[in-house]
Amino acid sequence: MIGLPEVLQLIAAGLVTGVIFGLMGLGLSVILGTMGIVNMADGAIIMFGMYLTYWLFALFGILPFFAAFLIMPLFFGVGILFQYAFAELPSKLGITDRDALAIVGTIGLAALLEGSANILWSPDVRQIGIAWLNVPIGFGGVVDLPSGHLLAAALTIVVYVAVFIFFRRTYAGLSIRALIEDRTAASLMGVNVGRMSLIGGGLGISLGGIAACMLTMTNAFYPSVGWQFLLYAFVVVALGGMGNIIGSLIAGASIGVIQSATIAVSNSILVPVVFLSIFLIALAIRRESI
Amino acid sequence: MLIFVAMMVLPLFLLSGFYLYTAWLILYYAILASGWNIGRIGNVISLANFGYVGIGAYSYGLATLNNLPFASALFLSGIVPVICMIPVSFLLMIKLRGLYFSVGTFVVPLIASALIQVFYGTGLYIPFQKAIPINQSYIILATLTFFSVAFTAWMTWSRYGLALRSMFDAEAAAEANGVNTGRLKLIIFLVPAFFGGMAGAALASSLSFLDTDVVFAVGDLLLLILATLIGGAGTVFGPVIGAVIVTILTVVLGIYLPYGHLAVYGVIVIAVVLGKPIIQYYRANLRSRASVKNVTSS
Repeated sequence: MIGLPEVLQLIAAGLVTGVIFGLMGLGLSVILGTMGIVNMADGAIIMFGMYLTYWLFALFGILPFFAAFLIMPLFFGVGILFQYAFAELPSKLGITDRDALAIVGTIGLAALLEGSANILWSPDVRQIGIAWLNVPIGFGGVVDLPSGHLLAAALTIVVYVAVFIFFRRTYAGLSIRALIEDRTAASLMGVNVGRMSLIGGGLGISLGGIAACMLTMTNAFYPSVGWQFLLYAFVVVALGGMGNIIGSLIAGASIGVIQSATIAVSNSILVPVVFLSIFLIALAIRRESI
Repeated sequence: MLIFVAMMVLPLFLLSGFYLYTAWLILYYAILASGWNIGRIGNVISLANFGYVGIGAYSYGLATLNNLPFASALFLSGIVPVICMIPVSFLLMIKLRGLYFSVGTFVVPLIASALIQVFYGTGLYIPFQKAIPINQSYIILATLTFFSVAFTAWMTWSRYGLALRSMFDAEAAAEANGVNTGRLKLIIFLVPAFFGGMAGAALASSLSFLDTDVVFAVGDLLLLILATLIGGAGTVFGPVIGAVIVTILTVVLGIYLPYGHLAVYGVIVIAVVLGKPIIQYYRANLRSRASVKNVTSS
């Protein structure tokens, strides 16, 4: 039977992987908030980030957490481009059904990224193999967690704190929160809505890039893995609320625990069903985030 | 319309083998694309179309395994997706709007696929003797395409078409004018499920092994959206024309670029989605600039 030590192990493992899911969801919700569109390509972008991190390590020996410093600005730039292409440009061109365009367009972008990854790097499953990342670290003899996971989780928490401070204390962060809440009012208050939206888009994508770096320390990946990450990000946003930083952290942690529990009980067959059902139910219940 | 029917039936007599298979694929995508198109006319962007194929395929497969006659298996494969989508449609349409609705519809086939995986994860084997020759399944597809296009035509050219268009433009105003938006939305959401499910049965009838990855292909979703966009979204024959282009593209790319076809589709989708408005914008702007010039110079 499942005793207390196993349950603690479950919870601990779930928490550690879950915070990274939370980061993914945070990126998605920032984009959702600043652009008002659903980024179906978020998972694929994260997948791409994982490959970039992998190659930075394989070719140049840059460890994933240092790679984050390189990936973040790169993805920030990509995010700005993305924001421009899917949010500003359609507004300038006077397109009315921008939402439909964004959904179809981002699906296309996801396909483009996945296909390119297939061509460039083949559909094989890859993983970053660094020996000292896989050392199990014990806590009180009860819980064993791989050091890589712990490191990734710790760094993710650091990122969370940084994002929190950014959104609460800096002018840029406050303006982005303002324009997420009410675009017109924010512009009346003197916020340069156009520029801040671009920055918000860049931030959202770069958060995804950081999440990708963290993920390389915990997961194996292949080009189609993006859809799985997209699902996790969606569930985090649905559960934690759009633009809600603490919410996404809690939601991510919960999802991690739920995932561990589901895998322990049913050998990972039921995982997609569980998550998808949670997502649908959360989406239906949570009206304020719509 | 007669030309259309003739063009559909002709390949059956003229082509064979690989070419007939290509024509089969064209009709397959035409059905799915016109199903998506029906939704799009009423601004119901459903991303669940690839799921109808999967549910229909498994319904057909299970029915055939239980020795139901072919006709009933086919009918079941159309009805079961509709029945599955009815509770979903109530849940989604009442609670969600716009892009959240679309995301919800995207999730539904994934749930169905995951559930099927739980029960039939190792795949469903259909005995080889029960497989339908491609000629017959082609006829089935042709009939489905005909009815799907006919439904689109009816929806577009009848007063329902006006209602749908008004719903697309301004939903609240349409409702105020007496358009039963709820019922209309339900119809255009469920009808593609019926056609898509049967198309899934046609697919399953030519396969002897059903696997969730094959019948719940997200790539197909991209292709059918692409087909509709290229062929002209919102028109009656647009999806069919688009399906022709897309299928030929698929076949050609499959020969030359076995792995990267997804990337090409992605580029095309983005180009179409962003490019069309850009072109429209510049056309409109150039025109208005020219007219302004004329006014000011004279």
